[in-house]
Amino acid sequence: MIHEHLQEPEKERLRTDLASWEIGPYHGALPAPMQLQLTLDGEVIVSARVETGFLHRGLEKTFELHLWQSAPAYADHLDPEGSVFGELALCMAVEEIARIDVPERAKRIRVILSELTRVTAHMGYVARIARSVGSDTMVHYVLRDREKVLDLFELLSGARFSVNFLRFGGVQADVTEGFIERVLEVCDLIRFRLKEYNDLLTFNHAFLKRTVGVGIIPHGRVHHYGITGPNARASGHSLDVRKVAPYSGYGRVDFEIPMVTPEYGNEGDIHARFLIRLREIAQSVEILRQEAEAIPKGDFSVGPIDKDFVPPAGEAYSRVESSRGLLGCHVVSDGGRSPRRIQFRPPTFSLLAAIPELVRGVRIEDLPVLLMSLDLGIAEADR
Amino acid sequence: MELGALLSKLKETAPGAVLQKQPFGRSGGQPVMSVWIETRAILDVAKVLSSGELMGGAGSWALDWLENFSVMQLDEALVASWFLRSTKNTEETLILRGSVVPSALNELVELPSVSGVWPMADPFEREAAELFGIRFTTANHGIRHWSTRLLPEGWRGFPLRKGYIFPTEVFGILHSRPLPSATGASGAGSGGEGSA
Repeated sequence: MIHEHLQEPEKERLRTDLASWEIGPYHGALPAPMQLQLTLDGEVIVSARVETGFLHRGLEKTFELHLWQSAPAYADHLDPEGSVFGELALCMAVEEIARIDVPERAKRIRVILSELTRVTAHMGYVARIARSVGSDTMVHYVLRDREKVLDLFELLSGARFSVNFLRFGGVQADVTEGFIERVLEVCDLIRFRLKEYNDLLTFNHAFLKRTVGVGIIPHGRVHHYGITGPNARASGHSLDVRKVAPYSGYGRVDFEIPMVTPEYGNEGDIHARFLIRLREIAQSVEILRQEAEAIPKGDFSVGPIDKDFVPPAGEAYSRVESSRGLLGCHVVSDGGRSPRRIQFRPPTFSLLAAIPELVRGVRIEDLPVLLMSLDLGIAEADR
Repeated sequence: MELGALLSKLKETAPGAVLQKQPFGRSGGQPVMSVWIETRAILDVAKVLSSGELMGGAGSWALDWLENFSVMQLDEALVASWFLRSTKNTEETLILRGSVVPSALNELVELPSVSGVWPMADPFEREAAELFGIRFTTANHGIRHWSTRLLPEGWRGFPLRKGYIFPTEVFGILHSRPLPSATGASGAGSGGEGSA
């Protein structure tokens, strides 16, 4: 039934003189500062070139200029929407170099924070894609509910974004009074709201028209570009670092990796990428419930990490599953007071490389929806 | 296939390419191995590993996924690390390493591009070219060119090199703020002559 909504933009090509368009770096159709150089045949995109780098902040150099103690605060700025993932990847690598055993309670708090961050990031995604198709009601509903999750961050750390809460050897502070109970309440709320989102948008005729069969990432091209995360899972690839290389105690959590298979929709299109996010929100809520109910008593940190903290010479490479995919972090210490090198492997890199192929044959009016559906993290790509 | 056997076969297929193997990091679990290679031979090594012809022919766990590419400076040398993984068996992993030494602070160095073998290398190489001053060469002795994107047009120097001297002024904006005392440890940021 869903396949009835397939578009056929190739039939709309005029095959006349080609037009060149440059969009960006700052444009309402773009999810973040980037530039697209398009060649159009009528309304159909024939070719595209992507330029990024407009958000380069010299983040990796900044690490090298400051003390180890400061590093988590900078890692927090890797991706404003998924600040915890950058912190976690960095902390895990440094803890491996320094051979720090993180207390069990701290690990659970990290998992809770990670999953709350995933929920907020995916809700932000749903709001953006709803806005791009003109579904304002959905935007307001999702952002209203996301505030409840951001309230939790504020309750825990005092900040709604960029929580700067992880530290080498644990977390900055223990959970505040009533936090765990509030997490469980928010889980119940989101589980209830997901049905509402589903009713409003998932099978809405106009939404299907704009998303089914558009911007397909074929199963076979996922590995070609190294695409990971929900976008890869929407194309039928099951890789999830939380499962294949469990970290921070994910190994003890009972959860399945949501996948979009043909019976759920068109594999790899915009609709599939939207669906997978909804299902991942539900999955994160389940993980949150398990972790919140089983959080043990104990220390939240091995102790304060002060300005004299210096890990021994060595290196490590950590991997976490961020809301956008596989986030890697290569850390090198030479035994000095500042990191020798901290390098991140952002999942967005692969998506940027895939854009020219993805937008070919797509109508210009569908470009904003397609770009939003990829969930590009330009901040993490430009660093 | 066990790593030792793989390296033996690699030595036969690409003579002189493999220099030595070392454990990577301090991993307490299954040790990850890094293999130092002759940098000029990276393309030959990449072709062999990505095709899986050494791993039983059927490509049962060809190292066909370049998960990450990282460059760092150790002493004078720029050390490149290619983090490889198999898409069919994601537990199979190998880190290739090679080094090049620039003749002077602002001299470009050459490194063979592997984006023809692992297409996902492209954005990483593009970034390293700009921030480390690496000229990536292609199989037919061409040079890969990208338009400048991370640094402003006309920027001089390679910021991620250790000896990089920060400009005191950029496009009329003073950048001579003192940096924290920790900067002494990293050997950068002491002001000095502007280079922008």
